[in-house]
Amino acid sequence: MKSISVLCLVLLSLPLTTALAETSPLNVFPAEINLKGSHSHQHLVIDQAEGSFVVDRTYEVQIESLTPEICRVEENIVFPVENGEGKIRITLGDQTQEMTVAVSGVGEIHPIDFDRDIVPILTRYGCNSGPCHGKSRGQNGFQLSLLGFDPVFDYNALTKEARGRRLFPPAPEESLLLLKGAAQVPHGGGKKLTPGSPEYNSLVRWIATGTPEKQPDTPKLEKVTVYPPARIMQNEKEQQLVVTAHYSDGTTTDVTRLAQYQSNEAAIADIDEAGLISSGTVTGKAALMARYHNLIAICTVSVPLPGEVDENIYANLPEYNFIDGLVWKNLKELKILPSEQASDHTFLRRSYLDIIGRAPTAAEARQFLTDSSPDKRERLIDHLLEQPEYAEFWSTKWADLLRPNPYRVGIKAVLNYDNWIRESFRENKPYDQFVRELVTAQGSTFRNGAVTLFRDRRTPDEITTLVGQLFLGIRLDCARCHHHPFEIWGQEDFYSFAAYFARVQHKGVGLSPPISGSEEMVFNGTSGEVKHPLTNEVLAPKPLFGEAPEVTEEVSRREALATWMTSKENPFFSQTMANRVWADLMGRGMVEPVDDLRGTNPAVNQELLTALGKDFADQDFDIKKLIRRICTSYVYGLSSHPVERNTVDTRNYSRYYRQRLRAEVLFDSIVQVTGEKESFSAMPAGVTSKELWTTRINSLFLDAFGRPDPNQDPPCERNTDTTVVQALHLMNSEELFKKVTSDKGYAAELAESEKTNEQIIEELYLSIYSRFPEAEELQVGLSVYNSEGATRRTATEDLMWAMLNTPEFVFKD
Amino acid sequence: MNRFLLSKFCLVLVLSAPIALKAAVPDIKAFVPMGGKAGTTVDVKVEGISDKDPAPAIWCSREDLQIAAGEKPNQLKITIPENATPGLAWIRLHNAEGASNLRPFEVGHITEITETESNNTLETATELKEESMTVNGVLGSGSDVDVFKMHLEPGQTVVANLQANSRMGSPMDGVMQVVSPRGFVLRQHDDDLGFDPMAVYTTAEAGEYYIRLFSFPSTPNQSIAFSGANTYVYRMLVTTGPYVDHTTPMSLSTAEPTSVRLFGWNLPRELHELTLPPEAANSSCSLPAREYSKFT
Repeated sequence: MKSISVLCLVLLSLPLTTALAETSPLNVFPAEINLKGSHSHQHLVIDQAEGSFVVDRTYEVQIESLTPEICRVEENIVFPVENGEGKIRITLGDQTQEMTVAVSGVGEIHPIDFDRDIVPILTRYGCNSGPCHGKSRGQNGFQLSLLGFDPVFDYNALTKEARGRRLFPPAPEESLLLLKGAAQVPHGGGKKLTPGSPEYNSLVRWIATGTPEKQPDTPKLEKVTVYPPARIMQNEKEQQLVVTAHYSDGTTTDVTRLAQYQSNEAAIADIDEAGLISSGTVTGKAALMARYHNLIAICTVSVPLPGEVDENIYANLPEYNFIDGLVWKNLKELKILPSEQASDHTFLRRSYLDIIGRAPTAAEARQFLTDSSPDKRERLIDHLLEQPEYAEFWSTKWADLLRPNPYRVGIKAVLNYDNWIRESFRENKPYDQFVRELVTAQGSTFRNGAVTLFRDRRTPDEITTLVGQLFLGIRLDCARCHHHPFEIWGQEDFYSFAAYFARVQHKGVGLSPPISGSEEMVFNGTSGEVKHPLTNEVLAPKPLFGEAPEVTEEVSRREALATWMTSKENPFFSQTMANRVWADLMGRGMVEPVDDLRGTNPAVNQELLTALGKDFADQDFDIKKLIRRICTSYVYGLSSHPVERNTVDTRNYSRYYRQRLRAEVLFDSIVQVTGEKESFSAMPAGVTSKELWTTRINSLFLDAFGRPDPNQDPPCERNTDTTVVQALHLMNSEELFKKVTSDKGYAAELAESEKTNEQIIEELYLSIYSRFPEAEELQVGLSVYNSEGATRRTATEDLMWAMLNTPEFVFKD
Repeated sequence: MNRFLLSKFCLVLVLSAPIALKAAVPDIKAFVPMGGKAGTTVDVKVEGISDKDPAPAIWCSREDLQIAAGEKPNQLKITIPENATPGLAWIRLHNAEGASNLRPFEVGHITEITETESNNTLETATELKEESMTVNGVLGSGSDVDVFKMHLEPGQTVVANLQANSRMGSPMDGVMQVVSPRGFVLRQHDDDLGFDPMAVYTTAEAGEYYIRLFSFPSTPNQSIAFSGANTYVYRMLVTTGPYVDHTTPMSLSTAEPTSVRLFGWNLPRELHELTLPPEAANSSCSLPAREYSKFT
């Protein structure tokens, strides 16, 4: 019924869209055209509203200069000819629009600054890229700094190295740089420059004018912007970008030709090297990055599902809390509709698996399913958050991230570290306090588990990368050596940040493989600095952004850092954790990978992530309250069954995304269903697998289902894939067989009980699937009991084994 | 047989005979148990001494304890008088070849029990029925976990203090867990006094709570496994009664009454501060920290 009404709305809305397109005026960017100097130019973008979309007309319009003596036009680019005020005309069908072009500075000499004018050319054409001369030892004897992060090095490499053979000022075109770049002599990288192009000419001018390095009073590049910054595009359409560089003296330059472009979701929207975006046929959002001179600007493109949807549908969707409204808003933009609400048994099983890391027992399932009170879902969430398994389960997630290999740092240090993490969750320690205690930890590895962080990560740069990634979602690894092409952080940012850990000192016995079992003290020393690796300059501690408390005698470097980092005003801190928890509960992070928050990897729903992060901070970083907020939203309770208008969605939470159970969750659920407990080495008898203090404790099952492997790099990587090994293990594992057929197990108990066969089948369905069997399932179950040679015991075991091998058990729905 | 070889064989026999008859220098690896209650006689097994060796002579730092050889050479019978001062006695064994190391033996004043296997799981836990009890136990192998059960009411504070490595010389690095009635760890304690753990836990709900003990070797090794042996001996005090942790000042005047403040758990108001007469200083009641469960 719903799909029919949607179709009617789609049909009704079509004529309206067409009518609007005919009357909308053309919009030209930039609104004012100012050309300064003979070598300047300006790209134009012309767009027009069409229904609920804005459509790019740049390559459909005709642009002509009405004053060729002042300016000329090539395609969508305006060039200066002579100083003065000119005019251009833009025509589309019977629509025309005229614009003024102000030209100045023609005939004046604009001295070239190497960093401002030449380095971007080397970057644009890939000369200093990783595969070419930008790699660590250069290419064929010629090395440039990666992506031009060190212009002094590059200047020397071009002008002085190899006795200056790369440049030839008396005849600039004969310079090896240009001959190679234009492939006029053999060049391994092929032809990069076209003789006569503006960039080629700039290089010629630079060489001809004596290869100047720096010009006095050169304005600093402050930011880069793109037009349009965001766009909703229909399938298979195009959109031209214009990239503008803004300098400290207030001037701007069109750098569309020199920028580099990249899409984070090429299937949704791709971009070519000229900045032309092409949308595909996949619904979703993409971020198109334009990078110029190590600064980045993003254009966010949404490609909605074709067709129209009545907006009232979104207005009438339930909103249990702010999460729902913001998810609906995003779905509305993409014209996706949410699935129905999940059934009670699905919600029950999902909540148990998500919050306490095991499936409900038959008794727990029966109690919930027969409860008719309207608020039972909310009460269930509250109940689960109070269970001791909550702490053990959620600890494993942080243990994955923090807990090192005991063979490397020592058994006792890891045991204590694990216990520190678990105690933090047992007492529901606020997340800011958790991080603060960790980052400022001092004392013995035998008495304060948190200091094991500093036993494992021993140098300022090792700790910096971990802290940046884990707590701020900022990956700084690349910035150790160079500017990362998709990041805004450079070496100075990295080492200034690392200086917060410069005075972490160790006393005692350090790492001494193969047995690193001794005690070590970690404390704040009075000396220790971090130097810039290029300039050797001692760097004072400085946060990545914003203001941090001053380091004094009373406030140590690490305390100052912790205060800055865990501040409620630091959006990275709260949003990174909010995104982690969201990903755990919803099956996919708003940002993926969950610890990689950057402009070039935007959230699928930034407004929601911002709101969730703020809510988390406002609730004093209470992790349970964050989980409760998400789990009591309507969105969390959506079914995973797609509807017509969300089958394409895999990222916007229009339905629940199924996941294979984590290794420990699956194992503990099996133990619970079979009633046969497991023994682990270095653990007391009867504990669950989520209580293990190291992944070094042997378990074939847990390894098969992808728990982190300390032998891998990174060791915290948890494999969530489904593999043939897993299926075979469930089918053939001797251990599982023993559990199912144990004389003390649940199957034996049921078979020996007074229950009828129907009641046993019902118990099995409740304990394995958390639901009652349907009539047909009951009949199939009974046929197992009635089959030839079957006893109550074998039939119960067979049924249990078969059900444990089904996706309904192995997946979280 | 070759004649030369035969003579060599005889020579070896002649030389080795006196050595085999002679006892080795006594080497005490452990006393099992490591203490006893005043007013009782305790049979103590000496780990490290063969039951085939001649019984060594005994030396003790305290004269109030009567120590006699047991039925076997590696056993002692220690009689502790009713009025014996709580604290440590140091015992040495010696024979004609030399003297052993000194090992401590503790005199206590509260009920003692000996842990018996199997108590590895919550279901088979040894029940502690009195308000204050001292457990004499052994973590006999790498798979040994000792579990003790007690009933607690809401708001009750239980103190469990393990003595094994730091003062008693047991080669274990014990770990102590307080486990909830549902079987989940509430607290885990590793080092308090040296390697020996101590737990203080106040309950929120009534129920059967557990103290669970296991150990790693005090000299770290590379095995991810618990460790245990006959020498992994411990004494554990578990109490829900008054427990003195420390005092200020830590000494008494022999000339005038001294006002002493007591710190610990479950201390009634009248025990927060005491005035002790000068003669208390002469009673050799030195009150080592965390010695008593009951200050009476």
